[in-house]
Amino acid sequence: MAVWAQLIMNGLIAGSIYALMAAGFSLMFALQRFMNIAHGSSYVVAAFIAYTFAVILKFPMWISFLIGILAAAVLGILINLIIFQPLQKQKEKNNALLLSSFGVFLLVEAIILMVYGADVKSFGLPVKVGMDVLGAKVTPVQLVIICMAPVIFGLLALFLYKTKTGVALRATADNETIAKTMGINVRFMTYLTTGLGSALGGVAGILVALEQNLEHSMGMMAVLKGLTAAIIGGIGNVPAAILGGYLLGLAENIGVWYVPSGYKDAIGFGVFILFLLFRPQGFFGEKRREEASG
Amino acid sequence: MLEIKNLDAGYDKLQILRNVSIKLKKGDLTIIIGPNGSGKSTTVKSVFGLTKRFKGAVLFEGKNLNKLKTHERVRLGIGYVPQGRLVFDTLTVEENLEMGGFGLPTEEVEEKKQEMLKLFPLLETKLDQKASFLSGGQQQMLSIARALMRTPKLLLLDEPSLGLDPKTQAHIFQIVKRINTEGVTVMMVEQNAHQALAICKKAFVIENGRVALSGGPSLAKKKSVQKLYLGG
Repeated sequence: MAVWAQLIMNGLIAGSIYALMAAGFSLMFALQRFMNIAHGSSYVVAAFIAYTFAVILKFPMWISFLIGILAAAVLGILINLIIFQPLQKQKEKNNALLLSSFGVFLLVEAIILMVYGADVKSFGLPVKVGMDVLGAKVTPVQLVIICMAPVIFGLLALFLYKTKTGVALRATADNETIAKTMGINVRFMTYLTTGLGSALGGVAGILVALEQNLEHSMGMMAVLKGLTAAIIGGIGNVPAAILGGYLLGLAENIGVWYVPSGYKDAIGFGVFILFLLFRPQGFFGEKRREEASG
Repeated sequence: MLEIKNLDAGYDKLQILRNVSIKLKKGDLTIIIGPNGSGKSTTVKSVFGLTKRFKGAVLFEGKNLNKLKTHERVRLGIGYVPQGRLVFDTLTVEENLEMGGFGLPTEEVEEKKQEMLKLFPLLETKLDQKASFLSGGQQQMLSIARALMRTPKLLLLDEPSLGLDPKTQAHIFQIVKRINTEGVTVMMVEQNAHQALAICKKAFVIENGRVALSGGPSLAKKKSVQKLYLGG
């Protein structure tokens, strides 16, 4: 039983991070309509900015984390404003946007490498012995990850379903043209979505940096896993993407009970390929209705 | 109230409207008829800034709308019921109505919502349902109710009877007439020329992106109109 408890707990830890990334991907996709790989930049930048303030400038941890998350949100908005919106205005195809987002991600990674160097960094938190939680050993940071993610998702759901702006954001994701005719400022909604989505990525980056360490290349795997989770759940549907994140985390971590742990990533991507082949709209996804034109 | 002045408009590089001029007075119920692809919907969309303007202007209450974005035009008091019963599928009926009053104070939205439920009692039992689960007629009612949430001075309807059964079509026309009687100026694009001409005060026929004919309900007596649009 203890082994299963541990596997499930490990799945929830990984799933929380994947779900945060996937929620960000899905939020942005709902309005931008393309896979924004540059989302990975927010993950990396938030972690390094938080590290700079907490470790180098000796700011209190929580203030550093808030600055890191804010930096991620601002970066997401700026990237959208400077790169994606002009491309979308020129009616560039989604492939061009996808490639440019990948380029932006690589550029940001290179800048982080130039500024901080290639060596692995750490927040230097004291190593704590894992405590027993429901039969599994969990460190305090891991417990924070498991508990914080549902709180964030709850707040996100409150925003999306219970506030006027949140409902307007969902309306814009549903049909941008009709949203405009309701008096909704669609451009503002796009900034809000990219800011919010990037902030979620930033939270994931900081949590992973706390639990493990930081390096300039930490974003790539987060992008791949977040994207996989979003597609498994149903891209564009935030609750579905979150569930996709947890499903992926659990599948990977329970899977390593049956196959060597070196195949953990292969399990995740195997599931991803199966979904792409047999259910590309994702587990909970629906096919979209085309907008009217003419 | 509304003046479309020598308007050339279309989509991207494609010009659809050529030198279109239409004037609406306060309280008018104006219909626009014409063959498929003639530019009827483009005319309505141009009022809303949903097309590319090449030349000319759209004035609302004397104010030039050319430089205003769509969401800014809405706030001046123009409501829009799009073609194809376009509701927000993933939102509930209640959320759809609330989006119609986006930006208004909560109390005003609540008040208008109750008003709309009196006008469209069928929607009352469906408030918690996703809009995609409504029938075609109910979606059209929701679409009209949503546009009325802001108490528009001018309501633009793009083929509100399209795809509906005759009974529901007649009901929709009744509602449009009632809205107009209550003081809302209406401009409606319609394929169902017979019923539309019966309730209108003014009519325009658009052909190949140009205003080919204009007049009152008596337009229905013109032989060319009868032949082309009234099956006679």
